[in-house]
Amino acid sequence: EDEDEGNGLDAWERAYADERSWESLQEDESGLLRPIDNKTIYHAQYRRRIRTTARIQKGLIRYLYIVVDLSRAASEMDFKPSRMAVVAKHIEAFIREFFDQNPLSQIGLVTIKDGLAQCLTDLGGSPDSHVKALMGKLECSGDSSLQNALDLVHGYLNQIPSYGHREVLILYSALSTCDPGDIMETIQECKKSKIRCSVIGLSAEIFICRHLCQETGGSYSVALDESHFKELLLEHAPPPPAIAEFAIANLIKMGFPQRAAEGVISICSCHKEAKVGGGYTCPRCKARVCELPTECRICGLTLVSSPHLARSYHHLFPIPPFDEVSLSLNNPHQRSSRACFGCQESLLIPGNKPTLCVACPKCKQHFCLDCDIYIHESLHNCPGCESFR
Amino acid sequence: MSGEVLKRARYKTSVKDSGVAGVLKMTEDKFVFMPNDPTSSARFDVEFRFIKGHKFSKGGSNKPALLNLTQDSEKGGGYIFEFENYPDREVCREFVGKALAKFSEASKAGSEQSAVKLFDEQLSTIEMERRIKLLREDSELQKLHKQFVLSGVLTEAEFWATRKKLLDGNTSRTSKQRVGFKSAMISDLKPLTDGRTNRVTFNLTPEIIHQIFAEKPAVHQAFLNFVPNKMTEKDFWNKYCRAEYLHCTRNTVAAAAEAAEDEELAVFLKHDDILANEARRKIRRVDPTLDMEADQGDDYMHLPDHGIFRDGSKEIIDPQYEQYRRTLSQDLNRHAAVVLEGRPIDVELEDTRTVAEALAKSKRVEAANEKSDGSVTRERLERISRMTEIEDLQAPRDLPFAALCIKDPRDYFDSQQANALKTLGDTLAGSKQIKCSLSTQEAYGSLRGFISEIKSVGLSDPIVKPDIALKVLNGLTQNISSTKFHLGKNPQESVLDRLPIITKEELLHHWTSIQELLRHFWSSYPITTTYLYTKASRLKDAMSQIYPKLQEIKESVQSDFRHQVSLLVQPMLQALDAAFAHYDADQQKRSARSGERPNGFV
Repeated sequence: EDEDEGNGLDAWERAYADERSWESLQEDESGLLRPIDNKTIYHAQYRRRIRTTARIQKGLIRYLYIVVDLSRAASEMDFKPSRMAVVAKHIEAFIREFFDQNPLSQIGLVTIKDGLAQCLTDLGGSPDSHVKALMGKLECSGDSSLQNALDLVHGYLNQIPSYGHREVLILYSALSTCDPGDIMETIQECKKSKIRCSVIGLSAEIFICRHLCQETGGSYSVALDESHFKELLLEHAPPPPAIAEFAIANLIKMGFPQRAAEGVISICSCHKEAKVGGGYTCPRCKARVCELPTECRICGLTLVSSPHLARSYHHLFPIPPFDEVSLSLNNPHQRSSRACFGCQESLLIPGNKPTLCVACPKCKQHFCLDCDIYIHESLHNCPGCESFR
Repeated sequence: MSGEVLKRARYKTSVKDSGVAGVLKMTEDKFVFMPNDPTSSARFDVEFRFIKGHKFSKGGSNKPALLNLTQDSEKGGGYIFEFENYPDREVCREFVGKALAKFSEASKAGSEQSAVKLFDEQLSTIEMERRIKLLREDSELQKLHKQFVLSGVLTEAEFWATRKKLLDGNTSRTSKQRVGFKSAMISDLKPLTDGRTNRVTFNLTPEIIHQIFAEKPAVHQAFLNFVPNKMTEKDFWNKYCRAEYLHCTRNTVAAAAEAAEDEELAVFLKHDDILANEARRKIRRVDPTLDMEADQGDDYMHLPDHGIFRDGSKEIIDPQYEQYRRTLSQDLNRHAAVVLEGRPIDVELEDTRTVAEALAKSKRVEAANEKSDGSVTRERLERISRMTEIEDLQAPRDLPFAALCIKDPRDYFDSQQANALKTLGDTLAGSKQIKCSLSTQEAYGSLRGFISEIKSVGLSDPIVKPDIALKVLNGLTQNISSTKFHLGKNPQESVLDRLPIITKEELLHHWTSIQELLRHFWSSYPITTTYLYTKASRLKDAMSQIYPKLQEIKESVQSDFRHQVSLLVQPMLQALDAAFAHYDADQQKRSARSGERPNGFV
């Protein structure tokens, strides 16, 4: 009889009956509960995020338009305090992460309100101006129109040069779209112009959004709650793989300006003020710019510094995923690697549990789970491999 | 709306004058005043061409309704008319306004054509007005415009090409977008009832009217037929609302009774025949993959009970009143079909008549297109083949990714070097190219020799002599700290503010003009057409004129400011120098290339 019962248990029931999930709770000296160790969960999530290491082209110079839906549905309060507020907060984080990972790219913002789409900010590389503009315009009303937004963005993205990757990220709260014409035609036009449209929905899956993303090669996902939304949004920060028929390889001219000497006074071309020292001089036309990366206002040359290029370069050559290794105390060969090579913390936990750690396939050093996540997501260099050079 | 206006009025020579009674008739290009008294001499037949403006008195219970048509703002003179009541005066005023607007546009277009002929492009009057307005508002822009465009350095088109954003403005972008039909069923009118006075109020906005016309073709047709011949618009909508009210009460017996009495009301109460015909036509052309059994009842020929209760109660109807029944599903489906079709017309919603006519025209155009369009069948077949695929059984249609292929960077650098050598070789004709090739052993041997030499002797020529380095470092530190001391102390104060105002403005002006010239200069490279070539040389001449001006400024300033001004001017001169250098290098390349061609073709 017990066997039958055991077979008939659902997965959630088995978690209690077989796995005794309450045993992972522990008390510390004063009798308070210790927080549950979430490390393995995070690690599992991170393993899912690692893509294949096949060498594929990635769009490094991206021109991304973020379309924010400010229709009536954005005032719904299933995301606290309201969908609109949550979206705005996470867009701010996303913009900073985006410019961190893609210094050569540019972002523009578009809003949909009352059935019409308006351009909030133009394509530009400075995160503060975008965030400021968005926070100043957070009111929602009316219907949402997908076609008007796509038409507007299509008009703007058609003007950028061919080496740039054209992308749209639509954060859609509504369940319907109120369009003046045939949206299928607009989708075909976007496909012809090589615009990659992705949608993150906040309410439910809508067929037209799925169709749009499938046709243009983007990704469609629907957020379950706020933390899931943040995860989905940040997934769009690293450069996406380039689609074969869209990608064109060009030689692009870029300037590497030198920092101006301290005693030089010149009128900068972005603010029209006289500035003392600092700043960079465009190597071609000798105009002064205040910050990098930027486009020279006089001669149109893209001005970057070498760290910016380096930050983009590592996307093309990601570190191979580390192999999972389980240490056990009894094995004499593994005695040398009792500490994580990255942070020097001990890899062994007192008790009989097998410890989980990872090892780099090239240099064979052992790392703990935290270092594994840190190396792959922020550092982009394996300390073991670098120390052998 | 119509072409003429006929009103009773009194003609007055001045406001105090009692006036001559008569009849004022206005047509599109002139107005005629005929006094009642045939012997009076106050008879006028004046064309609107001669009327420059119109003024009117403010409203008030005792004040007379005056309209003054002025001829010439300076000389005065005009025609004053007093009307019997304000509505009359308003009608005439609007008419005059429209007529005058038409004439002023025509005259403006005429005078501007002469101005426009100077430039190469076709400009609309709105564009010209916008540009003039921008120039008026921004004095800097106006100075630049005067300096460059009017002296021929830049053409009008080039000047405004970089300022597209200023010209477009925000409104023109969004106004090109249209709003689709709302998903909410606003055509389903729900009245406000006032319990006390037993009145029922319906609220009709132009948006709702537009949707009613789109969804109910019978009402649309009735509007075109009845208004304004048989009844006014107000009566029309009264009848329509009455019909809606009867539908609301679901009293089909009363509906039938009223329909029998009033034939116009009957149009609204009965089924929509036009819609039924359209539906029958669509059914004949439907996709063979569509399950028509499920849609039975949407053809307006049968009205089975779908079980959907409007407003929650069941409807039991006598078969003789069948035609006065309306089901919720029919209305919903019709609304959905209209919304998905999109918004075919793009007119201002204010005037119902224009909306109705525009809608009728678009439908006629559509019907004509359908009949003549042979590609419709091809489209249908394509759609059918697409819909027969079952989505779940298809392979994922992901687009393939591009493989990473990194070119050997040495190719690029080698080719660049070859280019550089080639240009060098062209300019220094006669220099020999030394080709050296060493074997690996020779190279290794010489390297070893150098290393042993340095090991024994040490570096004889250190790269940097220590005492000189110290001197330079000290000098630099002093320089930087003094600059910061003088200038960087007060962050609010900028360098320019310390200079006298005239100098500051001159410097800024020169700077903006240099920026403008340089922007146009760099944008014309690489030079591919003769137009760009002439443009570049024009700009170069203009830039060389600025040099002496900058020098002047440096000299005109007092001695204590001279150093700072020269510091400020230095980067400007550098930028100009860079541009000149680029121009000269390009010229050399072109002459070198053209030297190869025998006829000296540039």
